[in-house]
Amino acid sequence: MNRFCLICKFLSVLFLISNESRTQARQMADSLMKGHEYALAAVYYEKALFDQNQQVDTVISENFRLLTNTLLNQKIQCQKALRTFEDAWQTAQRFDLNEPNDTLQFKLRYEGALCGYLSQRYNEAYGQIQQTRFYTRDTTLTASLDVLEILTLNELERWTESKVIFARYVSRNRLTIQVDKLYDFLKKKPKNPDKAQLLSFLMPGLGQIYAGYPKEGLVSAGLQALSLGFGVYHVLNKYYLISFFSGAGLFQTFYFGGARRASLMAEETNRKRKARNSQKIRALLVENEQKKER
Amino acid sequence: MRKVIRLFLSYCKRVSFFLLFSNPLFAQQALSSDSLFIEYLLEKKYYNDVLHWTQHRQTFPYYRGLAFYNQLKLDSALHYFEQVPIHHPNYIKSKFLEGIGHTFQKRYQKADQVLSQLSTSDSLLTALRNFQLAGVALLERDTLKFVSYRQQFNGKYFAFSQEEEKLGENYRLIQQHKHKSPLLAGLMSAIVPGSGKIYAGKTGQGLITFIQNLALGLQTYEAYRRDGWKSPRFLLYSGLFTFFYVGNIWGSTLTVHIRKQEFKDKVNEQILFNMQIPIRTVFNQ
Repeated sequence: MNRFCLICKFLSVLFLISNESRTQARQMADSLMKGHEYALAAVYYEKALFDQNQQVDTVISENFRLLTNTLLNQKIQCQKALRTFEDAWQTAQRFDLNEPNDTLQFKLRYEGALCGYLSQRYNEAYGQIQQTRFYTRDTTLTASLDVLEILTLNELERWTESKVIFARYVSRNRLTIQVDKLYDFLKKKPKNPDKAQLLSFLMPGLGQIYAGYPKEGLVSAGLQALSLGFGVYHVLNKYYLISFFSGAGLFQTFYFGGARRASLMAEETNRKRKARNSQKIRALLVENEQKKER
Repeated sequence: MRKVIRLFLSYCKRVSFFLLFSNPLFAQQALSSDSLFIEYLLEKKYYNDVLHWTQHRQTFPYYRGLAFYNQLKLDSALHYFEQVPIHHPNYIKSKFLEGIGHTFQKRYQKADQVLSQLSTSDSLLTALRNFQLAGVALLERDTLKFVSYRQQFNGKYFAFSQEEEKLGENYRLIQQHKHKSPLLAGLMSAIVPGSGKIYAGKTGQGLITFIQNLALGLQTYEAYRRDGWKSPRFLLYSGLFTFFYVGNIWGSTLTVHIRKQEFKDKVNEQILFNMQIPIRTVFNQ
């Protein structure tokens, strides 16, 4: 009897130890996170996940899923604080989305989409947003996806769709923003790099002016005029070799180089415009969301 | 009263038993759980997590070395591999990784020393050690040493039989490579601009240089013919021509050196690649 009692106590101690190690890692991770030691906290969350996976057979599946998702979510918060968004995205892929609770499932899917946006995987983030809209039945929840969807669509340069959602966002939040005025830039066509190149071929410097760089256009035209003048002057004075090699050689270098540069400048202008428009809309959204939180 | 004392003694016995056995047991369990966790992190390629986890655990030099090695931070990896104790189950693997780490860092003598001092009982590992030493000898261009190691190649082990052949091919390539003279290249370019570069093996560059010099030469000639040698036009073009002509001679000698270095780097890269494959196959690393 005495021996039996001893064995029972010994086994129960072992069980307590294993159970303890499972919760110990999480407690440690929580306290590290509170102390802003995010890198180590993320590893401790992974340790808690690892410990939990070791005892998968002894846990009820529902509890297992809930705890796994909670730990993963905490790990993502650490990774976001560390600004390692790509890692956060990878962690988000491990969520168990067989979650019957609508609110919880939405939270997980939203986190996935947000990590996709932050890690600049805009196409994947957009796909996640659409999936979230499809799987979440509660429309009050999906309304909060608007901000993320607008930002993602802007990055994908799908401005027309972004405008529709922004208009919906404005009416939902009863804002006094003039959407048409905000999206006024849609009337402006983006610069066509091929067109810029063609224009520079037709008239030196014109491509740069079209791309929005008039000063560079004038410099390019001036250089080409100078080299051409040098060539013509030497032909007239019967310096044919100098005219051909120096004059014509320099002229063709400036002529073709200028056209290539005009094409690159058109692309640069498009990039700048996209960043400016995106920033303008983002600033408005952030300002409004901050007001809502207050 | 007697009964109470007996019960108390029995309780004390159990508590002392628990205290005696539970602490080492717990420690052992924690250590093995840690190792398992680190292996899990390595498998998932969370190398930064491994480094954070083992930061204050000096008992894991092997895992820290492995994490640094996989992040290609070889200096740190070597520092930790050197600390792996001889009785560690992965001691031999860490020594091989240390050897290849030194090789990657072009510290061939150190690599040779680490691998030579390693005693292996297993025939596969002995053959692998011989193969690695052969690779190091070839990187040092010590052909005699390489030939002596190559004599022990037997092509018996699937993990590196192909690499043994490839290392032999690398050796043949080094033997057959013709050495070109920078002096001759310079001389050739002085006679016909660009020809030194063609001799060095850069045909395209040679042709462009020739055209460039020809164009400048013709313009200089025209300026001389029309205006005489005192004219500013002649002085400008002759200056330009001289600059390009001398630059081309110097460039040709340099091209020979560059080509030599390029060949050396290319062969070394192939040798290193051939040395790394068996390590990956044998140690699953």
